[in-house]
Amino acid sequence: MIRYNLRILFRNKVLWAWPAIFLILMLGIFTWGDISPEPNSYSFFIMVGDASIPVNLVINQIISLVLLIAIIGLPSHLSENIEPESASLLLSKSISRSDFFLADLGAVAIFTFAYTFISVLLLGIVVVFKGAIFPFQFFAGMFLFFPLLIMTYYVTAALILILTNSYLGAVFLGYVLTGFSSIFLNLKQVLQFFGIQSKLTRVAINLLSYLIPSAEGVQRIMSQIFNGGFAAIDGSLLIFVLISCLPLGLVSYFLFLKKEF
Amino acid sequence: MILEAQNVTKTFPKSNFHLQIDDFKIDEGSFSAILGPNGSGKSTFLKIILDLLFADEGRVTLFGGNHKKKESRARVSYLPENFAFQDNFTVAQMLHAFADLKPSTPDRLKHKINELANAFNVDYLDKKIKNLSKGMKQTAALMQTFLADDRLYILDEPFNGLDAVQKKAIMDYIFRLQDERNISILITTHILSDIDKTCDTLHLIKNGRIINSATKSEIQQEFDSVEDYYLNHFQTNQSVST
Repeated sequence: MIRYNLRILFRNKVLWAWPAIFLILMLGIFTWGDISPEPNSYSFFIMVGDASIPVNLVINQIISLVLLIAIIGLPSHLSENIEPESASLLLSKSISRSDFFLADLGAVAIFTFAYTFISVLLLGIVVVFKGAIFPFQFFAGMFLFFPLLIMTYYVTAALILILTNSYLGAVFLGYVLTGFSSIFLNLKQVLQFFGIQSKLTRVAINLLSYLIPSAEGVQRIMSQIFNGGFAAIDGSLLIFVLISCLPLGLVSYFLFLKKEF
Repeated sequence: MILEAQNVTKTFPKSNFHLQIDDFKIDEGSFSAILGPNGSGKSTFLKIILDLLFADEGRVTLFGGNHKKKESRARVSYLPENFAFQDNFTVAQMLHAFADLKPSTPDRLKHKINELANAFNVDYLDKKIKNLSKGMKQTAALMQTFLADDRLYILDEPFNGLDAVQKKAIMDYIFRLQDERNISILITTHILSDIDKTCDTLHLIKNGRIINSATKSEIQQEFDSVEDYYLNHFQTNQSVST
């Protein structure tokens, strides 16, 4: 079932835009730009003309764009697979609902790792050629955590798809709901902004923060790696991120087991 | 028995439809049909057999095992009445994708696809699904159903959109499989001419209940044709119900 899903994912033309963006960046730097190491950091500068732009700035913009592409492209195969016309064919191949669901998550994870690997490879080639440096921790951090960032959005989108069978709803609500995770990591400022001082509200929001996959947490971890390497990762934040993906993932799983086609 | 269903019930409160199958059996090597008008519960019953819909009550066994276990369904192939493939795949790519779900060796798969293409007169393996006519799509769907060497093939309205030549090619292939591998077939249809000369057991279903089951020889003793048998039961039942 994972192979079946991968066949579909790799043929999704919307998702081709993801490596295409990195390819354009690579060709752009090769043609017009240059690379130089960033002092006291695991990162580097991209130089265009006289301007030196920290790669984090560029990567953050690209990540936002790729995230949008991934959140639009990735749920489309699940949306098609759970239509009764497709699901009845797939599940009749002696596949359990459990296999079906886990194979979907597995295929999306493999796919995102594969495309992240291609992206990192393209970026690596241009950095090595232009800057004669290889910021290993930067690339390793991106390779390990960018797929996790995408999975935080995908888990939410999958739940909404299973609940509503609506692809558009899943893309939109998946993007918006997961985006809310940034609020939970800036809780103090948000509560101050709204003038909320109640301890009960604080505890309730803290609990809620464990229910929505923390995309913001992954982005912070990536920034920590880009700036200070793997040693700079906040372990408790990493555990919080992993735990926050579980509730929606498990709810989706159990709802899917009960779904009729 | 390769398929048994006992006291199976399923209620759809919204449409006020109630399915109740008290006793249903399929023998090894048989060619059985479930006949009934549209909305009589044929597809619903097949979906319950395949665990696509959950029965409220009752017991279904496939090859002696609980139908909910994937191992029990491992030797069953199913063609739903309504199906959807990836439109941007060619027929060959679609068949390879479905072969991933019931793994086979590449050589065997290639051989099987060629065998099916020859048997079903398919010369459009390289055409994209979105460019196929309804009959071509139906034939492609039948190809994916027969891709695996299973023992029970459950076909829901398999001849939708097919012309007489295609129907004959598919029936000839099914008979060949029955001769060679003693496969069992369970089909649903509301077109009597599709099964007039082929089925050995017929089950009539109306309003979610099997109202009569008979073998071909039993039918031949009492009626001139399957059509007479069908009309006799449905017209009688209709007059009773009205």
